[in-house]
Amino acid sequence: MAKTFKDLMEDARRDVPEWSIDQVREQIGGGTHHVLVDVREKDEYREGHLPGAVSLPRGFLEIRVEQDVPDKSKPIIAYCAGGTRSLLAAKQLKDMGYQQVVSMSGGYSAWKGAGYPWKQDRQFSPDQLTRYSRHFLLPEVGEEGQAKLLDAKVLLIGAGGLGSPTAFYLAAAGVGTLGLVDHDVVDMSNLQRQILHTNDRIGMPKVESARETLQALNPDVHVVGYRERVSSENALRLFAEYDVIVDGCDNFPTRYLVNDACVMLKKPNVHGSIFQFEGQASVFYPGKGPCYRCLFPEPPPPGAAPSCAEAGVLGVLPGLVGCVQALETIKLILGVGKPLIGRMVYFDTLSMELRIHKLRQDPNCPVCGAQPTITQLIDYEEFCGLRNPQAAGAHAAHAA
Amino acid sequence: MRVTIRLHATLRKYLPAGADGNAVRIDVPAGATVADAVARLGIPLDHAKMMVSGGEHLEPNSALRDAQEVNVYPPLAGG
Repeated sequence: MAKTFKDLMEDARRDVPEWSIDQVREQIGGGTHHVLVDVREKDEYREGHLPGAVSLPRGFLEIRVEQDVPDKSKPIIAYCAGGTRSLLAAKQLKDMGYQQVVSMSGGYSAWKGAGYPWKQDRQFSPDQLTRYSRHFLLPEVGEEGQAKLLDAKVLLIGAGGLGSPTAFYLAAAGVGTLGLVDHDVVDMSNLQRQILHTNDRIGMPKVESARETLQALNPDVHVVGYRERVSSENALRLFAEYDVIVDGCDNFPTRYLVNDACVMLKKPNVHGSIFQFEGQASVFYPGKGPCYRCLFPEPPPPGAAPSCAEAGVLGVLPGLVGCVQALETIKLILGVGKPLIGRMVYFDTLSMELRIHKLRQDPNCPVCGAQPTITQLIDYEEFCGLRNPQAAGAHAAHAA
Repeated sequence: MRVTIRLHATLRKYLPAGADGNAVRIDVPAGATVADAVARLGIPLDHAKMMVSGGEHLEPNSALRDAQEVNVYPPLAGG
């Protein structure tokens, strides 16, 4: 015989204990390991919820609960607005094999009305709810992760081959503040790979062109352009404002400056570099793994490593490596996965071989070792064939 | 003993004629080091900073094993 709503509620009450808000408060305040499951709709959850509660709207309960709460012996407290939906949800969880499930009578309304602690997560606009909807579906990102992305500040060194795909994907992902450092203007020879820029912007500063492109893609993103070279004079000041530094520059003097400044400020440096058909990427995270100088203590002799302008580069190659940099940056911001700290990925695109190598931290590294000899930033232009090395201090000049 | 050295990026210019892609097989005496093999190919040691075998970092004075494959990487500037 078909069951009425009243029958279903009676069935549920027979199987599921109901706890008052005071019982729930006592249990979670006592440090028990209950999982709080909020079965209300997402928009209700966003208005406010119990601290630490997992959002599992009733419409997705059976589909997602085994992913979010894989251990069926884990005790669960389900709640909704008033205690009806959570009772039915709790019955469903019992039927799925969850052994200890209770429903909070009175629900969130009674909880909040009693003045007990509640939390409101970041409020997303209707556009944001749609724009980032595919992120919200990923438990590793979700609304909490998206809020981290929107609050993050990432500085890109270079708005060229590597900086273009990195900036594109970080902007699309909703990284809230993107700083771009590049002194150059758009040249037609850039357009074979530097996809931030367009034909009608030739001669325009790259940071301006990048800003137009990125803000057209995602108006959430605040793009800050620095039309200057990174130097010993400005690096610490520029980097200090950002959470993650992404090295997509095209020369050794800047790569060493970026590394040293990141070590001094303890900022993660998401590295990418390319040559013709080959590229490499890694994450140099001070205190957690090696730095660039642990691998390459000093810049190579002038002429040993030609630039893209001298040796050529396949246009799509920086797309590949820059996307890895964007991915690693997002992983760092979200705190998920296993970043490329202490590892380097190396692409050989002609043979399509991908190698991942472990990197070792050099205890005698001149900048991140136990007894660093480089304690101030160095301008290496001459070292790389441009000018005399300009150290910001005598110690640094000696170390160079 | 015979080892395989793979040269990447800017170091490919040191590959001898007849190399198999980026790999060159060379005979070295027992006890030879990575630096010895790099020198045999005419590569200045300051051009070959990162040497790796089986995913693990090698020092210049690491001893080679028969049939070992070593990847040698330079730093790359381009971006």
